[in-house]
Parts: sequence; structure tokens; C-alpha cells
Amino acid sequence: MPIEYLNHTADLGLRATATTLNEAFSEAARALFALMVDLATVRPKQEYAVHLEARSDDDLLVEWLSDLLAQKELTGLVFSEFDVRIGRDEGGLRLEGVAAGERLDPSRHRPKIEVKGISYLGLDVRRTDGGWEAQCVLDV
Amino acid sequence: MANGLRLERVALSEWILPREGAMRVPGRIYADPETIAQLEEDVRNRTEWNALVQVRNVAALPGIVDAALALPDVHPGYGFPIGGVGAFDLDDGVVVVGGVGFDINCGVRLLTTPLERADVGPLIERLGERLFATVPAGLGAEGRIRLSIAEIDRLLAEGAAYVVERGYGAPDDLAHIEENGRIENADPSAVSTRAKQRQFRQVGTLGSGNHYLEIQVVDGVLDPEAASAYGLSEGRIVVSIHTGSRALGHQIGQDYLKEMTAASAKYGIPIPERELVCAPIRSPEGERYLGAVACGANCAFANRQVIAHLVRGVFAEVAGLREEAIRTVYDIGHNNVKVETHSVDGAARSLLVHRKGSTRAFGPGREESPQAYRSVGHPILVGGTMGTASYVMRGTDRGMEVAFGSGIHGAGRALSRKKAAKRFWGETVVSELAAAGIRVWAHSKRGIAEEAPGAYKDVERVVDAAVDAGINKAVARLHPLAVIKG
Repeated sequence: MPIEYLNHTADLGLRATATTLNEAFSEAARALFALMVDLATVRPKQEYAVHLEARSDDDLLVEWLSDLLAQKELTGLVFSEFDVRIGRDEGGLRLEGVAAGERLDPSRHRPKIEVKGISYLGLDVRRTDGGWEAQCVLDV
Repeated sequence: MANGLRLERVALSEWILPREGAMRVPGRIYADPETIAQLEEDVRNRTEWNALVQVRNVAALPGIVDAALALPDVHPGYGFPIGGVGAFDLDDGVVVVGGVGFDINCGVRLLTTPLERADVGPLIERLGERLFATVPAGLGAEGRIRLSIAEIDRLLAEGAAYVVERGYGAPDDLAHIEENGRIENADPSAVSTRAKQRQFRQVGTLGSGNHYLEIQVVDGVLDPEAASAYGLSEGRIVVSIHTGSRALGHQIGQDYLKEMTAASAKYGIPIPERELVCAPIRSPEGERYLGAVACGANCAFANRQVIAHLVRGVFAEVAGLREEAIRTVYDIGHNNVKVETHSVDGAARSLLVHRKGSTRAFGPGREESPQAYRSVGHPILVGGTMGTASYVMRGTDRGMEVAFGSGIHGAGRALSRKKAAKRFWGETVVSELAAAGIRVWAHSKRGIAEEAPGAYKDVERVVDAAVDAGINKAVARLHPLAVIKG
């Protein structure tokens, strides 16, 4: 199962599982936006390019998701498709990504809940036997 | 018990988590036995995120004074538990982003109207419809005010006063808001441009999740003296507004989690859990965060002020009231950090008090309370859930002595959102409430399922535990008639 939501009494955890780290980050972003809108209704009409750096996989996940979250107000867009490339060097990690979506239209996208922030609680990006897992808890 | 977390009951509604390991002070929990049993079960089941571990972690932070507290609505949060209070010495202590959270100064505004229950019966449908249409709520809703960066800076520095100056509400409102709706040490330069830009279209919006706007009736007066001071009487129609600092507060939280990660490393502060990253209160990083969090708080006061204005407009239109006839009883936040003076071991000390899912609850005599309420203490506004009552309470002398003058903020969740969404169906919840005489207007059915009354603890139980513990006193019960949700 690529996306799993985890029980947290007040908030909501998410865990994305994939063969590669790049895919795990894409799945985590899909999981984030699936909480806010019906992804099937969001057409990938406009692209938003993301360039991020961080010192660890964990930090990069928070940077990635919180940047996308901020774009919801900054650009008015919600996203349904993601393409992520993560590179590693001595300085840390670099993410080059593209998120595709369209302007939020409450009449069509069946809005659900708002996500306030990406917390550090339970934050965990790790290699598993089958690939990668990316997990975090969201304040909703 | 697993993890060495063992609670000792010391009074009817009071438990101690004894100091051990890295804890600098004990934990102290005011709650009813059922809540305590749930917390202990979470520990036994090694539930990944549990509130007792969070109390223990807060108790391990540098400079914490007396005890890490949890109040009767305690449940797991991130960093601090929800219903958590931590007071820190200004010289040795730290300021913790996880002690405030993303929704800075999320809180409740209570308005009274001159209407009685009998007056409103035939109007309730129209009032609900018009409020739903008028107050922007739900994902992506945009406010009616558009602000430039310079105007946002003024709003962050001046809080509710700024929007009153622009014609939203009256100066009398300001005298009935915690800190007069303006926290003095706000520093807009400590807030990122991204945070300000995210707020451009968000002023005067309700949001989603547990935020709400309710028309309620006072259906029980439990403390006549205080109720009279607050202008509340049996049968009176009131309005509650529950919302916070919107995207601006969320972005401040996100920005400072990152900054505090660096600060914790720089100052060599041992962090029991990553969400508790922090900085010394008197460090440049700590002071910047406090300047930013004050901006977030001011933004929330302004947000509730604008919504109160919209509510007045609807009541004027539908019920023919003069807007001035709708009065602010009080406006108080429940995700805050404030410098306050408290008596510790008989001596007055200035402390930095974090309240996460907890309100300030100052008892009689404190100068921070509005003049009109000073003899009884200011109101505490306790949100219920859609189908249950809300409460107006007040602080007590005992609460000042043992809980840094803190109060409960709501029923507190019992079920996770995932479990609630599985167990309840939005449309069923709405029709069941309608059968009980409570009309619900909502932008999201899934949101309704997650916020179903059954997902929360019984608010009466939480109120009773706070009363039994002696930290808060119940003043009036508010029963919902119409609910607007995001």
C-alpha cells in the first residue's frame, strides 16, 4: 500500500511506501493533498517547480511537504501529480521537483480538511527491505 | 507499567508522574479517572504517540518550574500534549515551538445578543444560512479584506485594534479581548515574507477542522455572580467563534521549527523529542520567536474581530438588531506563550508560560482581566463539539496556586480522525443532530464525520474534572442551536 494514514488522537500521521526515495516523496505529497481535496478531480494543468536543500532525509521531507502546503495560499493551486528527483552530496540533499495541479475550485475538488503544518513528531524517512518509507504527523 | 511511566493518585482529580530519569520536575495531571485510564492504556499498548510520554518529555526541558502540567482535556499532541502547560524560568528556561503549535492563539470569541430563545426560534434557519454564506469557511475560502505587506505589518503589530480602525467592530470590543487584542512585543520583522504572503486572503476566514461558528443558547447558569458580570443569563442567545491565526500562524510555526532545530544544536540543549526543539528565552533566537508568536497572536485576535463584525452584520440583517447591541463578552486564546507573574514557593516570579490547548484562567483580582470582570476573574471559553454544550468558566485562587492560572479549552478528542471518519458518516451526523434540534451547515462532509460528537470526550466530564480539581469554576452552559463548519 503506497499511502497509509496513521492514528493520532488529535492529528493525522501519514506513511508513504515506495521502491525509491523519489517515489516515496511523491507518494507522501499525494497523501498530503488527498487529505485536502479529491485528487481524481484535480487536473495537472499548471506546473510548479520546487528546488530545495536539506541536511537530512527527514528534514527534506518536511521542507518538501511544507513548501507544497504554502503554495496552496501563495499560488491558489492544489496538486495531484508529483515528480521528484533527490540528489545527495557531502553538503546534504537536494530536491528538484515538479508539482502539477490547478487552482482550487471548491465546487469541483470536493474540499475536505485544511492541513496546518508538518510536525517533527514521528518524522522518519528510512530504507526498508523493499525500498523506502517516508512518515510524518500533520497538524490538521 | 511500560516505559517506567507510573502515575500516583494524590487527590480526587489529581495524579503525579514522579520525577525520574531526565525529568527535571515531576508531571502533574488534573483529570478524571476515565481519562487517566486511557492515558495508561496508551502507555501499556505502547501507542506510538501518547500524552504521558509527552508530559515526561516536557518535564525534561531546561528551566521548567514546578511541574509539567496536563489539564482534564489532555490528549496526545506533537511536542507538548494538548491540554499541556509548561512554565519556564526567564533566565534558565527555554521557549518551545511545540508548546504553542502551528495554530498560534487559536481561541474562542463569545458574543452576546439581546435575543432570547423564544425570539430566535423562527429565525434560526435564516441566521444559519446567512452566516454560512457570509463567513468564509473551509479549505480555500478567501476573506473579504485584501491587505498589502505594509498593512499586514500593521495588523501584526496592532492586532484587533488595527481592524477596528478599519471599521470592523467597535473600540468597546478591544476592552473585552485578552490583552486588549494586542500583544505588545510583536515584531513583524521576525515574521517571514512567505508567512505574510500566505495571509493576504486569509484575514476573516474561519478555516476547517475543529473550527466553528455557533449560535447557542445559555441553558444553565451555574455561578450567578460571575454570569451577571459577564452579561449572561438563562435563555440568552449568544454566538461563539472558534478559529486562529490561519496560514500566517501556520507558517510562523513551520519557519521556527527549523530555526529552533539550529538553535537547539547551537546552545547544546538536550532535546527529548524532536518536536520540542527550543532556544533559551533570552537568546536572539528565543526573542525573535517570541516577537513572531506575538504577531501570530495579534493576527488571530484580528481574525476573530473581523468574523465578529460579519456575524453582527448577519444579525442586523436577519433579526433587525443594531450592530452595537451585539457585545463581545470575551475573546481568549488556547495556543499561547506569555510572560506572566506567578507565586512560586511564596515568592513572585516572572515566568514564560506555554499553554498548548489550554487557556489563561486568571482568578479574581488580577490586573490582566478587564476592569468589569476583575472581581470574579475573566471568562474562560470552553468549546464543546457540534452536538454538545460549550461552557463559560472562570479561574480560581487554587488554579493560580497550582496550575499557573490555566484552564481547559475544550472537550478533547477521544478518537483519532481516521477512526472517527471510519465510524461516522457526515450526512448521518448532520441528520441526527437535526433531529436533536441542532442545525449544521458544513462545507465538508468528511470534516463533519471527523468532528462527530462521538469523536470527543464528554465535555461535562472534562468540566467536572476541572471543577473537582479546583482549578476552574463553571459559570454557564451554552447549548448549540446552529453550527457552521468549514
